[in-house]
Amino acid sequence: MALMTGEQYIESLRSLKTQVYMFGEKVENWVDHPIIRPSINCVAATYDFADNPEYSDLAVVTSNLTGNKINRFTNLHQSTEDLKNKVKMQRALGQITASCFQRCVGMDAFNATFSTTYEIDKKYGTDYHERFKKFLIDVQDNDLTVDGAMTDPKGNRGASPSGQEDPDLFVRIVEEREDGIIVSGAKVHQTGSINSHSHLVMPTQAMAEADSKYAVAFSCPSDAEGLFMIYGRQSCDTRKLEKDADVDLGNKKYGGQEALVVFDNVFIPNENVYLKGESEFAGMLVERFAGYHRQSYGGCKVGVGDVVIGAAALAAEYNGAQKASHIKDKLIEMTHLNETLYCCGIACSAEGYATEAGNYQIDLLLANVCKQNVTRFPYEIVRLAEDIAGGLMVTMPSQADFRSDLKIPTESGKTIGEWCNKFFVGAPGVSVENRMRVMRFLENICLGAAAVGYRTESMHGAGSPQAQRIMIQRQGNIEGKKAFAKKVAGIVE
Amino acid sequence: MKNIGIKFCGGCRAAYDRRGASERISKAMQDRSEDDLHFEWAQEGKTYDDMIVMCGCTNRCANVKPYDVHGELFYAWGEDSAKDLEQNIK
Repeated sequence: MALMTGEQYIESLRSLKTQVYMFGEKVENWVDHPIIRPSINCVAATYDFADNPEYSDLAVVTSNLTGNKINRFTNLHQSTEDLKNKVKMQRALGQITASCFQRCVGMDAFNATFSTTYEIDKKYGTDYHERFKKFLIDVQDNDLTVDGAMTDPKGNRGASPSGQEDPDLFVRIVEEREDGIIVSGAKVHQTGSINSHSHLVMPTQAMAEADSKYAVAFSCPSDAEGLFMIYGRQSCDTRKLEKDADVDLGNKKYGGQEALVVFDNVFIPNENVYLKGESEFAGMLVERFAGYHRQSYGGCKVGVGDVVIGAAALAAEYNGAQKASHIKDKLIEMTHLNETLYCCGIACSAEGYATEAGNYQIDLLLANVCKQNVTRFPYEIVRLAEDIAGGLMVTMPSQADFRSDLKIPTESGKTIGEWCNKFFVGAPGVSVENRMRVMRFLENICLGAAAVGYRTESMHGAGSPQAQRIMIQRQGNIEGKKAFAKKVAGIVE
Repeated sequence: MKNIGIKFCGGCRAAYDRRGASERISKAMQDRSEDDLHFEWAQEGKTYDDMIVMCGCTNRCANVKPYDVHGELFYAWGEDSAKDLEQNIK
């Protein structure tokens, strides 16, 4: 099958029987639901992107498994050039959507599972790697979107998976059968899970031998029996239900999505199982996935940052303040922060290396430094954007007010719309609506629905800050640095 | 008839409208040519007499290896170089 277009992708979702719940009810037509649809449009952009000659140089690659042309989101990285192009593609898509386009988790899970299963098979003589290759070829040939599902609820953080009062707080093997396994548990914060054709489930952390039932990796269709999802609500999400609120939405077309994914005794056939009890490999899989995903943020968040910086510059122009030196300096600072993140994404890619399985892994230290910066810089970027925009971005009346022809019974007899348009005028020649639009965009990204993706996801997605600090400590070569210091200082012990 | 391929890089740091610039460059090239020129988005496996490569930045990372180009590769990597091509391409 050829690469899908965005429209074909959206139609392909309609054939799934994915079970989706939101606001305490089952959502039958989730594809067209106004709260969910912007996130589907965002994934669709990853398909249209590959179909556009202006972007296909980054988006389309040749599969090392089949020789077919595939979307890069299903690719196994074959070189450091591939790793860099992944980051570039993510930046370009961030510029187009100003949102999380959700397909990176699958790509990162493919690459981590591919290399890890190779090494499990080498030690145990299992056939996980071949099974996984068959799954991935199907994904590539059919241009599927897959949720790389890692984060378990984890319950009591002070207890191990097997030490939890409720055994389902980590995804686990409930029963082993001759033809497969039964799994139960859940994955939280699942980006794009509802919009995915399939799920690739991985352990959430390194596992001890006592937790071998929790050391499990597998794939399953999103509409597998016993699998369902509960939509995660976002700040200001019900604005999407309002009539004629496209200005107030800030970003009408695109958005992100997270959900709770529950596995209630789901059967997984053997051919879709890629880790089953080899607990010492859980940590390798987690570390590799996290490494790739920490690299990803050096691309996608930078692209979104480009749009935020552009919006802040526009807000300054529309306010008539663009010539003020402090505004120029703040835009410089925002650009400096954003490009620093990009430097990190490119650097950890350029320093990548081939795994035993042949696909390329990023430099772990640099990827963790990248993500550590991502936990901070977008916050400073939105702080500066709010500073530049002014308080109007959160105090303006609604779009309905600006367009209202209801007369207010005062002496001048003007309508609500006329009053709003009179008092919210900015620089000469700038339409009030355009000023309103850029302010609402900034509201959405700084503290509305899109802040989920640009702020909190930057903090906790791909691992919270402390997870990176642990990796930086492990990879930081303090002993080597001490040796440098001793030599230069002439210390002999 | 000469076949001219138009190739874009992935555009992650494009600081100008590459598509618009490619259209202006194509028109300028046709205006100066005595041949009929056929322009198309570059496709792998096809042979081109010349290729216009629209890059977004100085890195010029567009991958032109998969294309069979007999003549010249004309690169733009920003507003200035695109204007230069528009004014001088033959």
